Amino acid sequence: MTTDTTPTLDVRWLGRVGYEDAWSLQRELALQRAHGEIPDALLLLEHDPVYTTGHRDADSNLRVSREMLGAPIVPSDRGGDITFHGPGQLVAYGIVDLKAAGLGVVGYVRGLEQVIVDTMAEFGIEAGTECGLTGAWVGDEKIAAIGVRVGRPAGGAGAWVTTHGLALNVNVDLGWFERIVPCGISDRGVTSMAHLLRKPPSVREVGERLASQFRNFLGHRIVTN
Amino acid sequence: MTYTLMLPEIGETVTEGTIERWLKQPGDEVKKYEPIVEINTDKVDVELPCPVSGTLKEIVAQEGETVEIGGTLALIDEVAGETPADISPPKPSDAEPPAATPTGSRGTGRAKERRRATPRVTNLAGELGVDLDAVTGTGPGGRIVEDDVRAAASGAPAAKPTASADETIPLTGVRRTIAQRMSESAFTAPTAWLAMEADVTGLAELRRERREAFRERHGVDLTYLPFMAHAVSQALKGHPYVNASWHEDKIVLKKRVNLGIAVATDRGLLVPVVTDADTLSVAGLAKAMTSLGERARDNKLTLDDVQGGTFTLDNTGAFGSIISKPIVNLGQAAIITLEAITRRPRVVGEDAIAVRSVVTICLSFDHRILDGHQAGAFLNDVKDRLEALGPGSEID
Repeated sequence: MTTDTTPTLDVRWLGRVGYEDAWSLQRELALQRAHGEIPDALLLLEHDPVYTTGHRDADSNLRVSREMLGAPIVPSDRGGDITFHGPGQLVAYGIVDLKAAGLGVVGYVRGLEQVIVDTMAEFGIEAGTECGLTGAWVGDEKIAAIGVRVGRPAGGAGAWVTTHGLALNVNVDLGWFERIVPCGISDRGVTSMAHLLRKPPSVREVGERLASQFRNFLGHRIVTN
Repeated sequence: MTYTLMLPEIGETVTEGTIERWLKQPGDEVKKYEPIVEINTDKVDVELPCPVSGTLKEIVAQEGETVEIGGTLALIDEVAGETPADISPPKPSDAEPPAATPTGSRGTGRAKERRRATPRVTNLAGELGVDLDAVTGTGPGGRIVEDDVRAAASGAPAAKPTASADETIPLTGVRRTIAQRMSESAFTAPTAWLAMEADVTGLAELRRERREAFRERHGVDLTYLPFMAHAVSQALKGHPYVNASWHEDKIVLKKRVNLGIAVATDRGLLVPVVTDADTLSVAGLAKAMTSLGERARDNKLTLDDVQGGTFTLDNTGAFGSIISKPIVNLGQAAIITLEAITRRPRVVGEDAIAVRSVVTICLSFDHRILDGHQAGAFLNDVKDRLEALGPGSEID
């Protein structure tokens, strides 16, 4: 009995990248993906400290003045409200052709949630998802945020492609989150792997596990003989 | 000609979207497939392409507004003679909701999903002139194997499923939570069990009589479950130890009656909660439970919907069971089932036998909190309430 072939996934570890640089790289790759020039890609990276928002109402979710934030606010074109990115946080951007992956918009987001839950399980952390609150939670605290954009960058001839993705707190200074209402949800806290584990793994290690779960999610059927 | 731009289906289970940003303004020219508006739903921004070429005439749904699927977004002065493009984002290739599919078991896309056969089998099918679409696969995951093709070619039924490859399903999400809570309950709570029969011939008549009017008046089907929920909620008020929870050093008797209803969904068992169920009529319970059940199946329950349950009702009769032994929901004292209502011969009066509608109700309880006589008294109370129902009973 043969196993299904895994669709190609180009996993790239980019190290520390500025938000805008990563953003323009995503747009470029999304266009290439839409034209079918490259396979699905997963970008793994850490950002310089930055707060990012959806298009509207950023200020209503700030707990301190903009000057007190200590990092710039960048309006982004992903779904979701304000959040923080910075060192110690694994950011994963998926450039995925939805149709080729046999996925719908919601299925993709639910899949990202499951990828996080399964990755956390590998490190002995029991994370879960909650109806109506996108992201991954450990108890009442958020460990990973999700924000995705779906578009058709190459027009009618091209595919529907995702950009943006998820941000997982590995060893990030949680103080950054106290200055905002993360994702617009006011009655919940934020946590990190370092907060939950005696010896936290490196961002890179978590990235490797997450890439493998992401590959599973995109279509590798596990069949044992 | 004016083209009405409507919100297309944007994702499985999505019923509405919020206008995030208009990328074109009235008076702007827009080409077919050019992005025109961004829609936000559930942490996803979807950039919708324009289905026609023309000029944006009027924006109907402003930024920040929430529009239902099919609602009007804008009017476009269309360049004539074009077929509007389908602008819906892709849909999943299988009908299964994604949450029910454990990671790793998703297929590899539309084309491969449909073929479900290795190249070797496909070649064999070609040689033997067998149409693979017409063959039922008996291999792992429904895959078509050589024997299936040979069987189809010879006209014989396919061999029994091969046991050559086992499928590994990683434990995830709801399945993992169910497994953990069930084990914890089974291994920590010493559970005892009781069952009683109730003659619900009167209830069956009552339901038959009111069903049609009820549907017209309330818009939901009148099943037996809300009658049971009502009987249970009322009985709980008189049996505080059944509406209680165990803590290592104390028992807490709950003031409110929040009734958890076990609902089977594609993702696994969910238990949404009807808060203050004892304050609701049968009709009120029917509506509350219908709404919770639908939201559970549509994956739309909020945290509030599943928290705070003090007792659980399990409608095991829905799948035809006539007796069952449920596991107590952790943190509660007991769980009750409503089994299938069937017509059975019963002794009536002194020495006659009649055909009656009869149901078994079962109660599993945490023996640390309750003893058999308390559990029995509660179950008898529920039974009496069910048997007292008949044509003329109050349901609104």
